[in-house]
Amino acid sequence: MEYIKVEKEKCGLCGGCVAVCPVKVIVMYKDRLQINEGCVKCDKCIKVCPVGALSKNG
Amino acid sequence: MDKNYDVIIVGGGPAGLYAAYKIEKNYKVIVFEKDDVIGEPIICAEGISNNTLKQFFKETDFPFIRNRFTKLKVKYKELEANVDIPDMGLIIDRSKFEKFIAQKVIEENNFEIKTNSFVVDAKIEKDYVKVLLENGEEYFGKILIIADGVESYLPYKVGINSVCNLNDIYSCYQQIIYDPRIKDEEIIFDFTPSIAPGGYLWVFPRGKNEANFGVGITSSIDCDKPYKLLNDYRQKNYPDAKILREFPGCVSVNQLAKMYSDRVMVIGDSARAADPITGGGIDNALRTANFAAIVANSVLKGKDFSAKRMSQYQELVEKDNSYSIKKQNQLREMLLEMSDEERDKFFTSAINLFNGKKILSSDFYYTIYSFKSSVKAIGMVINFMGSLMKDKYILKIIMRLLWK
Repeated sequence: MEYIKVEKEKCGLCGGCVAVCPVKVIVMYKDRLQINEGCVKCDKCIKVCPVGALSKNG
Repeated sequence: MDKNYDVIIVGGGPAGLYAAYKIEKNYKVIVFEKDDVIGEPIICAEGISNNTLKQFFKETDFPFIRNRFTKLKVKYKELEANVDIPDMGLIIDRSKFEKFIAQKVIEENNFEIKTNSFVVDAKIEKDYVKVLLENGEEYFGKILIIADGVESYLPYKVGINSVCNLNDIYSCYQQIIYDPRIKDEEIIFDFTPSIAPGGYLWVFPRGKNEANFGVGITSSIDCDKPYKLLNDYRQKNYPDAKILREFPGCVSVNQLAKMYSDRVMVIGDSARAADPITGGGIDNALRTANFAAIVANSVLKGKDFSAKRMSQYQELVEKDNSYSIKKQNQLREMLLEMSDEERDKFFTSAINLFNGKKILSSDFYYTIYSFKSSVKAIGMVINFMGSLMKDKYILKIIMRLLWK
């Protein structure tokens, strides 16, 4: 299971999570976020998100 | 189809488009934009200074201006300053603004803008830079200008570190609201820490009693999420406001330590070049784009595309007098480190100065222990005001008042 869960209906594609990701595994396409393998579980993306669209899975 | 270009620009926002516009017409240039159209989606408070427009465009009449404000209100806790700032600030229609520059790129320069084109990878080779699109197409350029915004991804691919610390990014939420209480002539910044921890709340008037109403906080601070902070404030201060649209946004502000590489320059928000205090990104997007274009025009005349040659871009950025981004960033970091008492004193001084009152620099200095000298302390207040006002003439008047 992926470590980070994205709630698509909350996400505004603002790009903050991509900016803070230290390993750049988050990619922002024009209509979706994609989280690739290699997440280091630093939780920075959860912290920066203005709307709480990202959370830990499970 | 020939896929070789002199300059490849990734990102069709203000920075990428303006860089294209300023590159000489005899070169072959292409701009890649990931969205289907230029000018959408817009995640922006849309403020820009009149000086910037005058500096970067030859026109005198602009089709993208929503509103001109003439009054600045700065709030901190129960204090407020009201300053007349005629002919200084504008709220623009960002979408029309981008279309305006794009039209120049296409019609005046005859360059290509390719939308629906997400660049997923870039590689620097000996004789060119190769970029790869999502659909598998490859393009080759002598120079690559990266302008892929706050969600910037490409610098990482070419070995430029663009990872942003939580301390250096504002987490924001904005609502476009209608309320008869909104004054079209007045722009409001509220720095009250409980309202906007490590940031500020803004009301940028769009005209017709509409405003870009938002809040930005420093992401590393533990507090409610921006959308909650904004809704709390709105319910208290604009309870009857009608929300026309709302969206989150993030602004990264600590400019990249290295903004170039072999054949590569990084500009605008992707270079983290937004104003550290206001988070305003458009002014510095145009500024960095202009310098990147100057360097591209010059570099393309020769055969040297080395990092050393490209470093001229960063030199130009840092030498620019009006571009005091380092000082502003120093101030931002100090504001974050200040104790509550120091912060109160800082804003009290700034607001008194805004209101045209003299302040005692010695008094100010002894309260703010973190500053090394009173001159530096005053310099920080001036920088703060400069960030909001972007007008050297008014700053000179304030400095004269101050030193009397």
